Amino acid sequence: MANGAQHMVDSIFLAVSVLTIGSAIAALEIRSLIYGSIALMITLSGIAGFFLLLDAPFVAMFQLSVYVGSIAVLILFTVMLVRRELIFNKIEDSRRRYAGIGLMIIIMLGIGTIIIGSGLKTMETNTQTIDYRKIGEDFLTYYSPALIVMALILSSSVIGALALAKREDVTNEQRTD
Amino acid sequence: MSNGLIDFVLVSVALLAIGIYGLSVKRNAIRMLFAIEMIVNSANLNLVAFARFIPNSQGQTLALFSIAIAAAEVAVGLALIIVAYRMYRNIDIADFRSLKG
Amino acid sequence: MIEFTSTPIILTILLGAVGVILPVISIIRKERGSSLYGGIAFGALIAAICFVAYQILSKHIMPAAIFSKNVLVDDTFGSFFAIAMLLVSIMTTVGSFNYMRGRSNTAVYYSLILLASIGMVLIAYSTDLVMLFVAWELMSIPTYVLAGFNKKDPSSNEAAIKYFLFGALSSGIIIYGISIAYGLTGSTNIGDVISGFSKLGPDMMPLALLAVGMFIAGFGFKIGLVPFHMWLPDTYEGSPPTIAGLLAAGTKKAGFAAALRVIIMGTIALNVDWAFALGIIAIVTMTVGNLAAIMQKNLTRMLAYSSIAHAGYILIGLSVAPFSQIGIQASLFHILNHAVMKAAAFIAAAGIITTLAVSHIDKLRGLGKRMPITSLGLVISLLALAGVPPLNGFWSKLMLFGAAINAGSVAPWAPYLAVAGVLNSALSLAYYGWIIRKMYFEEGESDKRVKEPKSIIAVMIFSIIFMVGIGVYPDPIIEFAKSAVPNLSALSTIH
Repeated sequence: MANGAQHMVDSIFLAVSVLTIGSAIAALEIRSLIYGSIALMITLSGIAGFFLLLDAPFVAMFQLSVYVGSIAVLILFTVMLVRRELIFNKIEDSRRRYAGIGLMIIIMLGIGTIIIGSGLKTMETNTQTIDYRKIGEDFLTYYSPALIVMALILSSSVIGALALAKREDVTNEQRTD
Repeated sequence: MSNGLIDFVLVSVALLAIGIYGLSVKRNAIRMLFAIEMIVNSANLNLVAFARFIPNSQGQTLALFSIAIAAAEVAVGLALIIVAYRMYRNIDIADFRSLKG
Repeated sequence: MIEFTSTPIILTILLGAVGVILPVISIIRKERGSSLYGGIAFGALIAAICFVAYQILSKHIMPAAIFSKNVLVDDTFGSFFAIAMLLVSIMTTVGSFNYMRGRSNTAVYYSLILLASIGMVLIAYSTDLVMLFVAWELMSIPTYVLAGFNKKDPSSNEAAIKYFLFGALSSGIIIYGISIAYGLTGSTNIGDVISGFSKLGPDMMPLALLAVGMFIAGFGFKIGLVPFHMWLPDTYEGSPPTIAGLLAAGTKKAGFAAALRVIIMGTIALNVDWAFALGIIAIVTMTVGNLAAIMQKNLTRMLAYSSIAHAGYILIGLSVAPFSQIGIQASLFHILNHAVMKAAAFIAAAGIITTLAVSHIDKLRGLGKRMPITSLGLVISLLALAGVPPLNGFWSKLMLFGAAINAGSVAPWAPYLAVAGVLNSALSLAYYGWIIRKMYFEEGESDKRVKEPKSIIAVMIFSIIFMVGIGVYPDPIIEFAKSAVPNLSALSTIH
């Protein structure tokens, strides 16, 4: 690979990292929940960008369609359903906040040193990328029972979410005591 | 590929740490959901990165499973949050005071 | 690929089909509060448990295995847990007949119990981390909904939100642990992961330990190990009492199945002193659970803390597993016993709450005269939980403590686990005895006998027979637990 192209990839990686991490922090810290959910969308798209850099276009597309396209939009709609002043409401305990920041730094440094000290840093690859047909084959052979269970998970979540979100006070056919 | 595996894993660790920070500090149910999504995404990033460098397709398959499961989980979580909002007109779990402890 | 006729696949298809069809029937019938759905769910669960029992008795299943080339294995370890989990689901289903009468969404309720029980059963059969994770989620997602099923009750909703947030965090941690394990070994099959772990170089060792630590944390949230237990009392107290029984007796035990499949094998393969760490967690968990239980004034909250304490007892067996032959066997025996005892106690509490609308312990005065059969069931299950002979809890605690003492020749710290366990059992007898005194030896406001729900009576009679029967004649279940223990010496051959 030419030296110039190598720098290209590095700068793209750096840009995606900064975007992902920055918007993750923003999603938690921006006062408005609406902008927070948009920042979360950017984080999720950033992860999809990493998947593209890792030569996994299939997973990247899945990430974009499921995470950005449905989960983030679902969250955004829920945020908009909530009363307006709550969107900006932000009660925070400052002691808890410092403890949280401390915990974050401990995790970053702790796991970070384990990873940097491990043999992972020598791992490089020049091998072929994975064919997405191999993923389909996995799904239908080795992981086929997991696929059945996956179908049951999705149906249970639909059944459960519908039962929870259904309003009973509107029809008012039944009284609970 | 010029980036080593370790670069991706370090980004994933940073995202994990931010997610845990969010869960321990924030008391707004929706923001806590954001933090959980970040943790799941950091794991997915790890999986796809390892799958590229091993190389083997199982990591990508598991990442696909994990994305789909996250969708199911979020649907249930948001339904619970909506029920809570109807009851309390609030989504701050610090204000849910029906149980002590 | 695993055969289509193996036990886990048939159970999945049977319970899954019924579970998905139930809500569809309810949409077509448009009738509320019908007991039909409970009956169908009960029938499906009975069919499932009979099938598992038939497979075990006819010896169609493999002896307990640690590895398999597939994602599922049809072995006695899985079948042991399948029997325990299905028993809990059946008790919960029958116990809910009365509780759900006149409520809306009955069909959804029973369908979610069925789907959650598939998840619990499949966890025990999994030999692949992906399958384990997917089954774990199938267990968790329906129970998030079930915990918040009382939509009009703020405490039920709060219980569900807490449970959901901690449950989602635990699955995030588990998948992070899986990602590291996969990254180190290049496979998600538990057998390959373990043999990969045992071949790791010293520079990768800390990462492997990190992965095992994440598994302990992730499964520990569901099991309720201290310090991952903070959500548990609130959730068990707030959710419908029948569902609290399912959570305490079912999902907690399924967490142990996952822990046995992953952590124990991982620790043995990694050849480190994780056993000592697990022992410390066991002592802290049972002490914290029992001390907090003494201070509770609410029956379900007290039972919740007592289930934390029991997680500690079960962990004794796991922590001495590398040193004692009977460690895992004792844990399995206590898992089955505790599943029935705890489910019986929670369903008795559900019966008391639905008929008398009290859950405060002081209000239980004179209950022995007002609801004799429910009280008897509650008392026997409390005594069994405390480990009073000749009930089933006594034998399994005896085996657990015996295993700890037995391990003392290899690990000098192990007998202290037994000492802590005995002291804790004595402590627990104090608060169980307090409830029993309130129910039988104190005068209540009225002596009038109230009508006890038939479904609760049925569960009580079954569990009394189970607890006393196994207490008097424990040998068959001990043998069954022994056959379910995976052969750990197979692990040493990979080194």
